[in-house]
Parts: sequence; C-alpha cells; structure tokens
Amino acid sequence: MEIEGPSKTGHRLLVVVTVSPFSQQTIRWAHRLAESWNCPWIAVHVGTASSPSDVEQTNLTENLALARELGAEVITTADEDVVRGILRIVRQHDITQIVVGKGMEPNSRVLFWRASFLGRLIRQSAGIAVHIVNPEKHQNSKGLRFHRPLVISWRSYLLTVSVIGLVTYANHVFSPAIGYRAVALNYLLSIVLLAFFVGRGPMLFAATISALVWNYLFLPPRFTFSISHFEDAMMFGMYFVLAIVLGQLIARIRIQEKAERRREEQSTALYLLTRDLAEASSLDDVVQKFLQHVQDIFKGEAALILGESSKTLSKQPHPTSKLQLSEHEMNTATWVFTQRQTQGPFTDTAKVSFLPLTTAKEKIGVLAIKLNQSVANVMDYQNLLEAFTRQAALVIDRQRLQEYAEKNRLFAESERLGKNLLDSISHEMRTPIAAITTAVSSLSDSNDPGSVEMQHELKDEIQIATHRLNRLVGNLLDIARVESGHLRPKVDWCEIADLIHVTLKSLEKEMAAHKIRINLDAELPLVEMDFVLMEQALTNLLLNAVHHTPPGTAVELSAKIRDNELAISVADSGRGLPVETLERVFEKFYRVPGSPSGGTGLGLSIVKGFVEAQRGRVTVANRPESGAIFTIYLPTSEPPPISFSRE
Amino acid sequence: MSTDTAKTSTIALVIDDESQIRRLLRITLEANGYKVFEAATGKEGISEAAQRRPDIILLDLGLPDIEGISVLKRIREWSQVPVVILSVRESDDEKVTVLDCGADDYITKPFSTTELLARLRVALRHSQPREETAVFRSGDLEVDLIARSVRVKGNEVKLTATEYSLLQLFVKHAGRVLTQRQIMREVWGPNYVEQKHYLRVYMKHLREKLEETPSEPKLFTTEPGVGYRLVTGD
Repeated sequence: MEIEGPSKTGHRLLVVVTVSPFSQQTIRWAHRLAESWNCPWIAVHVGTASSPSDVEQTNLTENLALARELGAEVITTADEDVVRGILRIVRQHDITQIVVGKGMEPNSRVLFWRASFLGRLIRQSAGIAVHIVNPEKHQNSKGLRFHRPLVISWRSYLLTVSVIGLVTYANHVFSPAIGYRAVALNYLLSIVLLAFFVGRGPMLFAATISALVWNYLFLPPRFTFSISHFEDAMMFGMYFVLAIVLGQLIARIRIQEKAERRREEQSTALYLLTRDLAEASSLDDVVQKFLQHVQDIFKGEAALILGESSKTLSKQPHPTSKLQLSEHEMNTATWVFTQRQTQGPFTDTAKVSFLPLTTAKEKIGVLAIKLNQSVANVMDYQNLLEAFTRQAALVIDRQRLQEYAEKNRLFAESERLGKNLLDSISHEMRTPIAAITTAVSSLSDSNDPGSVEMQHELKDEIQIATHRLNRLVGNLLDIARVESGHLRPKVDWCEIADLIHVTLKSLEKEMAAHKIRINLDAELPLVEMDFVLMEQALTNLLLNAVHHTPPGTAVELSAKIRDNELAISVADSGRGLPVETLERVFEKFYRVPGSPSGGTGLGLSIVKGFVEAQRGRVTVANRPESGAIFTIYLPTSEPPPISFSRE
Repeated sequence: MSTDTAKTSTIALVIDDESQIRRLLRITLEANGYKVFEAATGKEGISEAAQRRPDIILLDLGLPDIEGISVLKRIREWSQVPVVILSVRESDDEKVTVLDCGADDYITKPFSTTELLARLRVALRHSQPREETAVFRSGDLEVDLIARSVRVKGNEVKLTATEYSLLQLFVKHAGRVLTQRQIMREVWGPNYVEQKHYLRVYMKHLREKLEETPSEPKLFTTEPGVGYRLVTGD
C-alpha cells in the first residue's frame, strides 16, 4: 500500500527481517538508507516449516512492528527456502536493493544452509545490490533472550519413534512372509505418512533411524550394521536418499499449502475489513464496523479507546465497544498508547491484550481484545490483528481529518455568516438611528423650529425609522428562535380569511403604494397552523414583494386547497428573480445581487423556518408573465366535527 | 387625546423596570390627567399597589425579580383593580396566561399613546359599577340585551342560541380583549376550552351575520395568538 511507484532515485529497498533481536539494527539501518534515498521500502520475513520458539516469536513480532512503525510495508511469506522466498518478493516488487544482517541469517538450523545463505542470496540476486549489515553486538540488558535456545519438538520425535517402533514390530511379525525388501517399503510408507504430521527435523530423524533399524534388524546379516550383498547396500543407500527426499518434498508442500490457505483467509478478512471501513460514513461508523470485524475474525470481545490528542487517550472506550475495561486495564491502554507498544499475551483468555493503533505520524488509539478461546498460532494471529489495527488506524485518521476539515469549513462558514450579520445588522440599525437623531435634533433646535409642515415631516421620519428598527429587532428575534431549534408552534384551527385580513391590516401603511389583489377559494376550511407564526411568515413575504417591486405594481395574494394542502401564495409583478438565485433566496443573510438597500436577508429564511416548523414548505418561482411567486404549503386535515347539541 | 374620559383624580401605577419607559408613561399619563406612581420591581409594585390604592395598574412582563403573573396573582388576592399588561411581541405565551388569570387587557410595546389611552379607558370603564345599559351600540350593530334582539343597520338579525351567548359575552366585555380560553369557558363551558375550532366556526358565523364585509371584520377583530375583541365606538 505504501509503495507508491518508483522513487526519485528509482530505488526500492527490501530488508530481511528475522527472529533475531539483532534484526532491529538491520531494520533501522535500512530505514536510514530508505530515508536518505527517499525511496519506499519493504520488510520481509520468510517463515519456514519449523515452528519458532516463544522468544523468537516475540522477537519477530517486535521486529516487524518496528519496521511497520518506521514506515515499511511488511510482508510475511512462507517458503521452505528463505533465499527463494526473498527473491520471489524481490521480483514481485521490483526491488533494487536488499539489506540483510550478517551473522543472523533467517531461521535455519541446518549448518550448511547458514553458511550458504548469504552466498546464495548474492549469487541468485544478480543485478540487485545486496547490503550486508554487521550488527554491533553491544551489551544488552536483555542478555539471555538473544541466546537462541535449542528447541526440540519432543512430541514430534516421540511420535516418530513410536511410529517407527510400531512399523518395526509389524515388520518383525510379517517379515518371514514378505521378505526384508518389502519391509523397506513399509518404512517408506510410514515416513511418507509421518510427513503429514511432523516437521523436517523429525523426518530426517525418522529416515535415519528407520534406515538403521532396517539395516540392523532385517538386512542380512541380521543384528549387524554390515550388509552382505551389494544390491542390499545399493538398496539401503537408495532407501535413505528416497526417505529424505520424500519427507522434504511432502513437508514443503504442506507448509506452502498451509501458508497459502492462511494467507488467503487473512487477505479475505483484510479485504472485507477494508471494504466495510471504506463504506463507513462517520467516525462512529468506522469504529463500530472495525470492532465488529475484530470480534468476528478474532473471536473475542473488543474495545477501542480513541486518542483525544497525540498525548492523551480518551477516558472511556468508544461507546460501541462490547468489552468493559477496568481502571487498571485503562491504565495499561494508556501505556500502550503512549509507548506504541503491543501489550498482552494473546494466549490467555482471562487477560486483555492491547494493540496501539498508529499511523506513520499519528497515534490514533488502542484496541483492547479479550479472547474467547486461546489461539494456536500466536504470531500469525498477532500479525493479522496488527494489519487490522493498521488499516483501521489509517481509516480513522482519514475520517478524523475529514471531519476536522468539515468542522473547519463550517467554522469558516459561521465566521463568514457572523461577519455578514454584523455588517448588515449594524448598517440596518445605524440608518434608522441616524434618521431619528437627525430629525430629533432639528425638532429640538429652539432657534429654528421650522415650519409646521417640516415638523410633521420630521415626525413622520422618526416614526418610519422606529418602525424599521422594531421590524429589524423582530426579525433578529425570529431568526434566533428558528436557529435555536426551540420553535414550538402552537398549532390551532385557524381561518384563512382571518389570517389574511389580520396580516394585511397590520401592513396597511407599508403596502399603501401597491395594488393588492386578494384571490381566495370560496369555502376555505379551517386549517391547523400557528396563527402568529403564519402571520409573521405572510408579513415577511408581503414586505419582500413590496420591497423589491416598484410602487404602483400589483401584489396578488391567493389561497386555495389542493391535494390536501393549503397553498397561500404571494405573487408580485416585478422583474422576477435571476434563475441562479432561486435556490438561495431562503438562505440566511442571502440577498439577491442588485436588490434595493435596506433589508437583512433574514425575512425569507424566517418564512422558511416558521413554515417548516409547522410541517409545511415554501417555494419560489418566477411567474411566466413576469414577477416572482412565493407559495407556502401547509398540510391540511379534516377539522373535528362540531356537535350542535347546545343549539 | 383631548376627549379624555378619565377623571382628573385617576391614580395609575406603572410597574416597569425600565426607567425610560416609566418616564415616558408618566409624561403621557400626567398630560392626560392621571396621577402616576412608579415601581421598578414586582415586589415594589405589589406594595405600592397596596399603599396607593391605584385605579389602574400598568404591569410590564419581564420584571427583574418576579414574574408578571405572580405580581398579578398577589394583587388579585385583595383587589379587582384593572390591570393592563405591557408586553413585547416575544412574550406572547406569557401575555395570554396573564390575561387568562385575570388581567384586563394588554398592549404590545412599542405602542402609540392613543392606543394606550384607549385601552386604559376601556379597562377603567369596566371596573366601575354602572347601570346596566339595556342597549349596546357599536357602528351599525345594535344589541338589545333585554329583548335579546340584534339589529344591523336597523334590520333584525336571527342568531342561534350559541351565537347569541357569544355575542352577549362580547357585549359585556365590549372593548376588552377576550382570550380564546375565556370565551370557550364562558360560552361552551370548562370542558370545551380546548375545542378551539368551535370558536373559529362561530366567530365566522357571527361575522357573516353582523359584519358589513365579513372578510374584513371591523367589529369583531382578531388579536393574533390571543383571542378576539369587540370594538366599541370610541
């Protein structure tokens, strides 16, 4: 994923990661090299058939985690031949540089392999530079951990010995009947079968002892290691070679098949996780899906604790987490978060394991998981879990950035709105205040009281200005009510004609210059609405029409019932609205460019807020004949019946 | 303004926390023959009301110490003095509650002095014991409460029983605002107070029968969000 095409230098670097603790130095060295070249790098571990010890597993996990943290793409693969495994990755990823540590070649216990590893790697990787890093074997407090213990899988050897013993007994019973040569075939068969159950070491062991036992017990002369006939000697030699080759072949097939199956399962699991996380719409959604996948795949209860900043972890696990954490466990989680260190046995079903969620730069959070059942292959399990957490960390990081960006955008938007508000409000307030101040100062000028006519005009101006101020304050309070979300309409059965009359009456002065035409359906039923809100909405629509059209033009007010909806429309005879502004006129503070001065851009958004609070809607359109038409739609229903019992 | 009906000795108590409003009201009221006392808080208002025995109280909603409704209730414990509410448009709900609880009328700030004086006159008139006038007149409407006959421009109009009791209520409180709740309770009984569509239907009938232009009522005006008012001649 992080290999993004060739770098500037064209290099692609691969570092071989082994179970040795010295591998970390090699990894750091490779990291520095990759940094200086500014090139992508891959850390590869090639697993072989032999199962690593616990210490080795821990080492490997740490090594791989380090590589991952330093920004490497980590690949683990399985191959009986480490060199071949490495070269396969080299070819697949167009690697130009290989970094390998000296003296701690990949896990191989066979002596001649160790000697030949570097030689073969260099020989077979023609055209690719191989860097051999000589680690400093400095004193390390970890001391003994570096000493690789001799691990013998006693169980495998025991099984081998028992099988060989059993076959020997059977051969002993049947050899008089089948002859000593068929006995060899029995041994061969048992070795082939054993190959399905034990590793390479026991196989080698089985081949050797079965050859020796055959020689000693069945090859004439019996009970000696000497062989009397040449063809028997030949057969003994061939048997030995055959046993070894067969065992090796089968072991190799088995490893690869197993690894293949595991890889497929893991990549499917990862693919499904990636797909689901990509589809998640919010951070909460991401976390929930991630935890769901973790719980399904890893069979346990999980909790995710998100980091609040790069330093502090949230006090509580994410609410979608199933696993409850004690205070002590939360402390562990915090430690895991700050140290970026995986913590936990992964084997103990009673304990919680912790994995940090990190990206190359950010600490995202901590995954806590408590297993329902113990795991057979801890390393594999942990690798996949780490791949999961890494994936989730990336998605969460991206989601957070997105949400952050969105927040910033909203903030900038509200800043802009706030500024618009201040600009338009201060203008809208200053103008009438200035008018009042001027008029009052003229009136109170005792030296020049002016004509009576002028005094009347000044008083009129004061009245107009106060009207305007009062309307502005009303608008501000109205929009605040809409914005606060606390608008609770007091819905009641109302008479439309009454609503229209009351509204028009209160606007007599403002509408005096326009021709008002009222067009009501006969027999309009009672409609449920908040009378006061509707009066205000209608007032704003009418004022809007009057404000934007020249005096003397007509304003039509009509009300009708269509399809269970009341439609009240206000149509003017002005120039109409530019098409591109139709969608925006209900936005707060939006003013159609070129509108006459005065007005805050609030009136129509108040209409929208008030109407929508009553489950209605408001639309705007240009009339075909010219002018704009605003329509308020309110849902209607049958008024309850009236009993005339008291008549 | 000049046709003032208030007696020169009418005592008004203004309870409002804004000194500028109190000052303006004092100027206006004193110019119209009222004697004015002021109170800046609800508590002060209650004690002033007890001490000064005002003929009318102007009560602002939104006092700093106690809610207007509490002031009204405390005063109503011992006095039926008319109370006119000074409200702002935003306190619609409170205004209605206070009216339901026995305030006589309301006026929305900002208001004109003409409007204010008219309200005060109506409130004062209702508080004074007066001989029951048998005939009520307003505009073209003429209601003979004894004969239970209703005429518009001299022509007899037939009303149903409910319509008539509705009209009777309006006449009794002519000039005053009546909240929907008050009307419903008086005309239909306390069980019907929430059935406001009754009121709408009957108001429509009443307007159709008594108004000259029912779609532009001049007698029975709607007070948005509050109720209705029967407009009197003055």
